[in-house]
Amino acid sequence: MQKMITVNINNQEYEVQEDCNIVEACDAHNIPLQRFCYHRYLPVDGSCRTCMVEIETPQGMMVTTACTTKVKPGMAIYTNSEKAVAAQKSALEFLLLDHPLDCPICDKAGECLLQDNYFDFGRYDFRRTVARYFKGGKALNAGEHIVLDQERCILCRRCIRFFDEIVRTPELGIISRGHESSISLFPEKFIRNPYSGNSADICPVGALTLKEFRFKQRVWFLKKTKSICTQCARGCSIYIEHNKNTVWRFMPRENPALNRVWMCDRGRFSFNKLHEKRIFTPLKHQEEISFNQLYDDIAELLKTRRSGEIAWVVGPFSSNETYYALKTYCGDNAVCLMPPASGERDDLLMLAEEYPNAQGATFFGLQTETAPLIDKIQKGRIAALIIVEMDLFNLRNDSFAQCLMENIHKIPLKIYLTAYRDETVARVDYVVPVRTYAETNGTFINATSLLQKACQALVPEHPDIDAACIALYTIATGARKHQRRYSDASEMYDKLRSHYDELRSFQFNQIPEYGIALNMPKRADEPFKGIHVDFNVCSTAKPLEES
Amino acid sequence: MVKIVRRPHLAGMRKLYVVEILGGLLTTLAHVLRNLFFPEKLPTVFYPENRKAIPAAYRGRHRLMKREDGSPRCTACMLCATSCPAFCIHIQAGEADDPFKEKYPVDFTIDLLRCVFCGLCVEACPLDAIRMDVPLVSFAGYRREDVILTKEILLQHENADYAHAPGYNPHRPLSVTHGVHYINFLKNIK
Ligand code: SF4
Ligand code: SF4
Ligand code: SF4
Ligand code: SF4
Ligand code: FES
Repeated sequence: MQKMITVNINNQEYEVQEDCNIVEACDAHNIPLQRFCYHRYLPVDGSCRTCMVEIETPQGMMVTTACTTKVKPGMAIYTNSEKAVAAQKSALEFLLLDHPLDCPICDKAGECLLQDNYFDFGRYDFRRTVARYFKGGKALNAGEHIVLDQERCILCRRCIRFFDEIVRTPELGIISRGHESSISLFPEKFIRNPYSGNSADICPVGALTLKEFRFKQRVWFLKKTKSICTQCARGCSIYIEHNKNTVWRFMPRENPALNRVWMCDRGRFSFNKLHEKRIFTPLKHQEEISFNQLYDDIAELLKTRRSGEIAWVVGPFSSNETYYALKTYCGDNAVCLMPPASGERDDLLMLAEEYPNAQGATFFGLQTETAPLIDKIQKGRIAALIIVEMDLFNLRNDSFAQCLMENIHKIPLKIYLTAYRDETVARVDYVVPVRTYAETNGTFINATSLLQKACQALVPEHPDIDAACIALYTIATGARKHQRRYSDASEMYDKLRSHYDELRSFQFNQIPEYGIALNMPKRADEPFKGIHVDFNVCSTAKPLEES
Repeated sequence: MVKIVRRPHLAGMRKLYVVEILGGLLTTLAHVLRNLFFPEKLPTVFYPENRKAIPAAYRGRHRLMKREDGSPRCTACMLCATSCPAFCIHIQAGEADDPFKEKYPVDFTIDLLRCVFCGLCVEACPLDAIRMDVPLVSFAGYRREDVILTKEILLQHENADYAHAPGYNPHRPLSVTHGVHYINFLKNIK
C-alpha cells in the first residue's frame, strides 16, 4: 500500500496517493478535468496541453499540465480558476481549429473525447478569420484492421506510444511541422501487429477506426455486458457490446490484475463466431425433433444403462458450472480432453492454449487421463458417450479422438451437447443444442488462476435451449423440466460455491469485477512479462469508464 | 374543489321553449337558403376534386433529399433513428467509394404504420437530408408494404413540383452541411 498524502484541490482537502499525477488525483475524487493524450496505461506525454491547472509554487501561481505534474504533500491545485479555465479552453479551441467535425460519419461519435470535452470545457463562439487548413487523408487503409483519418487526428500520440512502448512495433509517426503535422504510417509500413485493435480504442477521436466495426452500429445503441474473452487461456476481461441480440464488437474491460485495458486482435475479432454455424433445433439421427422428445428419448435410453457404461467427455472450453455438473451428477466416467496448445503466443497477453478454461477442469478435479476410457471403448464396454461442447471429431493428433474414430461402431449411443454445427454433429445420434457463453451466465478460471464471471448478454434463439450445465444436469438426472433444480447457470454457481472456501463468500452477482484470485498452481506466466505497462497506476484509482 | 352550476332560471315566454325552437329553425333555414343560392360560399371542400392548399408547415410524408450529383444527402448518421420516438426508422450504413463521402445509407426504411408524424427526425438531421414535405393528404394503402417507405420511394421526387419547396424544417437554415456554418448558426441564435 502506497503512502497517502493530503492535497488541496479547488480549496478542498483530499487524500491522494503519494506520487500519482494530478489527473489521477482528480479522477479519484470525481473532479472533472479534461485530457486527451494522458492515458493511465501509457507513458505520460504532455502533448495535447488541454489538462491545464493552476498550482501554487514557491515562485507563485503557475499554470501547468496536470498529467506531467506529480502531487506533493499540501499542494494547492486549482482546476477551475480563471487562468486554468482560460488555458483549458484555448488548448481545446486549437484542437478543434482544423478539425473536420464530420461527427455524422465518424464512428467515434458518442464516445469521442473531443465531443465530450467540448461539451464540458469548450467555448462556443467562433473566432476563426482565416480559411480552414484541410489536411485531407481520409479513410486511408492503414492496417489489417485499421482505417486512418489524418484530418480527425488531434496528434495526441497515444497510438504511437502504444505501438512503441507496449507492442514495440513502431508503425505510426507524426510527420511535418506546425499546423501541417499529421499522423502517418512509416514508409513501407502497414499496421499488422496482433494488438492493433487497441489503437482504435485509445484514439480519443475518430482518427483510427476498426474495419470490422465501421458503420455497423452507432455506439450509443450498444449495450455492454461484462464478460471475458474465450479465445485463449488468458481470459482477458471484456465487454460484449450488443444490440438487437447481435454482438457488434468486443471491447477490452479494464482489469489492473490481468489485461490492463488491452486485448489481442485474435480475441477482439472473434465476436462473429458467436453467430456463425449455430444450431438451434435438436437432432436425432440428423432429423429435427422437439426439445421434449429429445429429453424424453435420452432419459429413456440412458435409464437402461448402468452408470459405469456411460462415458462423458468434455473439453477445456466449458464453464466451471459445466464441470461442476459433470463432477456432481455424471459419475466417475467423466474425462476432460486437453487439445494440444498450438496457437500463437507472446509475452504480452496471447497464450498458445486456445481454450479458456483448462484451469477450471483442474480446479474441479476432472480426470484428464484418457487411457482407462480408451481401454473401455476398445473392449466395447461403453454403451453411451456424451460429448460436451467440444468438436471431438475435428481434433487431429489426439489419441482419444483417434481411438474414437476407429471404434465408433462399438458405442451404440452418442450424444453431443453443442452450440455450433461442427464436424462432430454429423457423427452422433443425438444433438442437444446449448447456449454459447454469451447467452448464459458462467464462470471461468484463466491460466493465472483468476476466476472471472461472464454474464449473459444475448437471449437464446429458442427458450428451450439451455446452458450446457443445465442440459447436462437434465440428462444425467433424467429430471423433467418442471422438476429441475436450476433455471439459470448462476444458480449452479451459487450451489457449487458452498463447497469451496475461496468462493464461499461470493454469490454470483457479487463476484468482483476483477475476478477472484484462486490459490492454485498457474499454467502460465503473468501477462506482460518483462514489459512495463503500469505507467500511472495508483491504488486510489477508479475504474476507467472509457479508454 | 367542487363548483356547483345552477340551472339557469327560465321565466315567462322562454319557459315555453316555442320561441327558442323557432329561432333555431330560422338559423337552419338561413343556412339552407344560403347554400342553395350561393353554393360558392359553402365551407365544405369537394375532396378529392377540389383540394385546399397545404400550409407550409404541414408535416406530410417523408422524403430523402439529394445532392447535386443525385446521391442521397443522408450520410446514415442515424440521428433521426435515434430521436424517433416510435423506433420506425431503420438504416443500414455502408462504406462509400468516395473517401470524402465515406458513409452512405445502403438501406433506409421508414415504417409509416408506426410513425407518429412528430417531425423529430427532421429536426435531428444535421444535413437537412430528411424532410416531411410530400404534399399528400392521404397515403393509405391496401397492404402493409404500401406504407413502409423504402429508400427508393423516399428518393423518388425528381419531377415533383415540391422538389424544391422549403418544407417543414423549423429549426435549421437550409444548407447546414459544415461545422463552421453550424457554429456560426449557433452563434446567431443566442
Ligand atoms: S473525432 Fe469526434 S469531434 Fe471529430 S468528427 Fe469524430 S466524433 Fe466528431
Ligand atoms: S491517431 Fe488518434 S491516438 Fe493517434 S495521435 Fe491521432 S488522435 Fe492520437
Ligand atoms: S416523424 Fe417522428 S415518428 Fe415519424 S419517423 Fe420521424 S421521428 Fe419517427
Ligand atoms: S439524421 Fe439525416 S443524415 Fe442522419 S441518418 Fe437520418 S436522414 Fe440521414
Ligand atoms: S492530457 Fe495532459 S497534456 Fe495531454
